[in-house]
Amino acid sequence: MSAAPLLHPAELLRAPAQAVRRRCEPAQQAASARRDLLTIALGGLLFGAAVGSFRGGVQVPIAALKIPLATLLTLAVSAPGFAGFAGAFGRRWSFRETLSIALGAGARASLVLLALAPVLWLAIDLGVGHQGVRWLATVAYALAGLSALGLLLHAVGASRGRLATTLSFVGLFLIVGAQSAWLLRPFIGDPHDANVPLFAHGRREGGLVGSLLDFGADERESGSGY
Amino acid sequence: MSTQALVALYVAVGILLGGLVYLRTPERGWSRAINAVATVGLWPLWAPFALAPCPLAGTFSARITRALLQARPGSGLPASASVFSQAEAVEILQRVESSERRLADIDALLSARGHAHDAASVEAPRAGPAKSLGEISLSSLVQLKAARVREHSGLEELAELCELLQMQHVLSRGDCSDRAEALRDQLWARAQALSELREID
Repeated sequence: MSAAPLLHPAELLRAPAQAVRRRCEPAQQAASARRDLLTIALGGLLFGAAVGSFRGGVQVPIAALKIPLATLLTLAVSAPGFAGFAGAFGRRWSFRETLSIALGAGARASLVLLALAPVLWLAIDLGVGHQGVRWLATVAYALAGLSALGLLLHAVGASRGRLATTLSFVGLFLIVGAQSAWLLRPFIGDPHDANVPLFAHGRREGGLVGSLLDFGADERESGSGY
Repeated sequence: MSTQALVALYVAVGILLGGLVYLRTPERGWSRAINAVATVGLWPLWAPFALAPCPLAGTFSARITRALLQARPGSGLPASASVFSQAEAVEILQRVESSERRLADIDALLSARGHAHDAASVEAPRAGPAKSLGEISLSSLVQLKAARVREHSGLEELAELCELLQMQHVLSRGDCSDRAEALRDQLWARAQALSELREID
């Protein structure tokens, strides 16, 4: 059996520069992308299961499926934008190269989520409340995001346009990610709901931005949330 | 557009691309089917890689793959004893790819160690343990450079032999050439020597 799949997480976490080089090498992009997709699926699956364990029962597999889905949806929607921004700010990356780097960053973030899943699970098991779980999940996502940012900074390099490229990537990912998560909520499950719906009920057109602009109108109408 | 229509459109594009991937994947069996199914679900992220033009390989791998594929049956050229079997061709390519990976690793090490050595050499002269560490570092650098030369020349010779074999194969249409046979044996020995280089190192 090849050791490459086992070395993949170690390289992503401990040698980001080498991970970036591998993703820029056309001969290795397909294998890296395959492993990155598997890592995103596995990391998200376990973190989602931990999040869903707050309500337990059927919410465990539902949240386990929704978390990787939200990450993959975000990457799929953002990738063409990433390629556009990379070109605009002087990075001569092919679309495959850009996508490969984005998947690598997503996989690195998912590894962090995977590492934090037992912590969240333990906290829930110790009786942390709904608000506490939301905060813990948010902190886990922030740490995962920082980890992904580390890989992105290696890929962007030190040449001109570094800040603009990084900010545009992060901005686009945050906007699309927030909208994807908003569409797929609830993940934890509102404690006021007797049965957690598959998707938030009473959703309206306009998505996250529309909801934020309309925040004062009637918060309860826009769904169960979280 | 409604959510249902959007999902239907996504799946339709996925099925189309999955079919293309299935038809274009050279391998047979489960991996081909898994590749196609993964494309249906994840086409925005996976199709660019699954449908990438072949061969996706480094310079030497690309040269050798091109030569071996053209020298194989099914290429319009006559079948002869000088042609490698599918398994042999795959083995040669695997050896070439791992040799190229070693070359890339050596390059990365040389680049990192070279910078460190340059920085150290401009510092004040050292004595004692620091000096002996510097000597070890320098000798490692020299060994790495020698290993790089060996690996690179091994790959270069193999690529040239493959291209020669291809040429001989074209020249010997309808006839089994002794020269092609000798080249084939030499090429096989060189390919095996690529892995032996690592063992010597």
